[in-house]
Amino acid sequence: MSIGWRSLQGQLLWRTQQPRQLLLALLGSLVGLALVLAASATVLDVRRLLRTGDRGAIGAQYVVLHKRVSLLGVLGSDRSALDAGDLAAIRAEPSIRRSAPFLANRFGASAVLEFGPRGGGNALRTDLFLESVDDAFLDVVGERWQWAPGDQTVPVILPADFMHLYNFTYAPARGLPQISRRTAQLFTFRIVIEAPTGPVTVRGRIAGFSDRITSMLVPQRFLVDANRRYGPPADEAPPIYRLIAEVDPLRLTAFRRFLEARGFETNEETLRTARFATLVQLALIVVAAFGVILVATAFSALLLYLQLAVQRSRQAVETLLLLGTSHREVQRWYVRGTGLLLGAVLGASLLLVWAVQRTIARALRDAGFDARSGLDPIVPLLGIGIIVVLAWLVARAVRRQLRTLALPSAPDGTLPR
Amino acid sequence: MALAPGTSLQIRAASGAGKSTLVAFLAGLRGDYDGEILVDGRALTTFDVEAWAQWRRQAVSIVFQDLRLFPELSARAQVALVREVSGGAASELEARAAALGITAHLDRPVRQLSLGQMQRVAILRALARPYRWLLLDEPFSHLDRTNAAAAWELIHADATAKGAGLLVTGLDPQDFLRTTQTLTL
Repeated sequence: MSIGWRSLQGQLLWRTQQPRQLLLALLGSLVGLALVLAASATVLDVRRLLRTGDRGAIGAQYVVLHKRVSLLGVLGSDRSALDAGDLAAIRAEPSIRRSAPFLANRFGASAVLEFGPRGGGNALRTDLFLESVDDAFLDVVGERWQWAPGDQTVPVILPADFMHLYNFTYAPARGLPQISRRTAQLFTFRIVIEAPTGPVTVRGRIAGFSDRITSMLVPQRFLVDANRRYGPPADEAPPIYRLIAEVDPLRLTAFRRFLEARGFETNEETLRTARFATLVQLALIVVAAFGVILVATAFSALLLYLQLAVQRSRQAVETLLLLGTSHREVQRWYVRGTGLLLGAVLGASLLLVWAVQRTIARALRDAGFDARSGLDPIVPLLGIGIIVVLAWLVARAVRRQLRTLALPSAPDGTLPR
Repeated sequence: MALAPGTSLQIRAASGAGKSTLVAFLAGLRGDYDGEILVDGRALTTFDVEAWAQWRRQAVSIVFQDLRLFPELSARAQVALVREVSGGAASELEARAAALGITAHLDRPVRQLSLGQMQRVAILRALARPYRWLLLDEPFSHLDRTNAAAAWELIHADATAKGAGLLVTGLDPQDFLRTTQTLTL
């Protein structure tokens, strides 16, 4: 009759008289590990959403920076321009990915919009404040956004809020028709520049509406050229009063500290959404911390259970050792057994996290976010890392416990190496 | 005191004289002694964990006074287990069991056996593996004279066949015990 050595091992080494304890410890490990991995997966997803630019949940954070206007500025003796120190500090600030100054018109300009056939009707005239900024910071650059020296038509980007203001306030009050963005882009208007030699007229054409920048923007090449031609002669570069900056959404706290330290101001509302995202991340980190505590507690219970199992099998283990089984082999049995249990816990946790992440991703996609299904490879790697550490702790604990068995301690208490 | 391969030594002493303690020293259960115990010229105190495993697996076979059987396993399973650890011929099991008079009990968990039957299972297990030294700590304490003599014959024949050194301890003189040396304490 053949006797299975493996089944004998099980009988002799795993005297599991309290399977409920083992089950609870494994369940605790499962829930804890799933919490850690789910929180990690969500933190990674949130960070990815924050970092993936305009298609992300929050997208890149563009803010317009300027110095706080002081009383002296009101009186006109200090224009709150950004000095070289401010610009150097902005360039060196790690929370700011990149920045570009706004260029303002240095000449008088007005817009004239004529109603009626061939301009024979009424005309609406208003002073213009023109600005330009590097195209890389614009959200509506298209094929209409072109200007070359000699062109008599200048594309203009208006703030989207202007459109809303016209459609929902001005037009109803004056009995004028509401217009869509597409229709608005068909209109042209005259831009009258007060040149030193007399008025110069070019045609303005709406190239788009910006949700990002509240200013009337013209191409930078046009403004540089126009300032040079029509503005007062300047020996040095014109002062910079404000600039646009792309802020790292994950470093908003540092960015806010930077603003306060340098006395800068910005559009607070833009930052609010991103602060909420930071809050979400913090909440997830707290969840992960709870998961770690739960894993630690459950694993302690598992380790205690294992030590108890070795203790319960003490007589059998000692006899096995006296019969010639090596300590290393007995240790391997326990570690292998526990490793299999922990591996099952990891597999179940990953399955759980995968299912949860899939559901969340679907909900996020329904809400219009660019959320992907599937776990980030870091998550299973993290799980494997945790399990390897736990298995190492098991091996160490079992080794220590086994060394108290079937080894002669010398009169001074030392054990063989 | 020395024990050479192929020779046998019986130690007779009253309870508490240290017979089982000596076996515990040789088995590696205790190390709290002065003096030296040398095996092939090497002191037991220099053995590391792996050397102890090697010594127990290949060199020494012991019948402990408290037997150290696995209560839930049958005699056959106990023998299979030591063979798995150390190797050894399976074919002699039935013959040895017959010589010891426990053939009928080979497949019963040893916890269901009497002390005398357990003692014979422990002897059966000790003989079922290769060894160069056979240590028997009061191996016949629960056996009647007839069974003890039969067991001794089997033990002596096996140790002789293996060219092993044999150490047997006991309380009183036993007329069937023929050893090359006797030490009375």
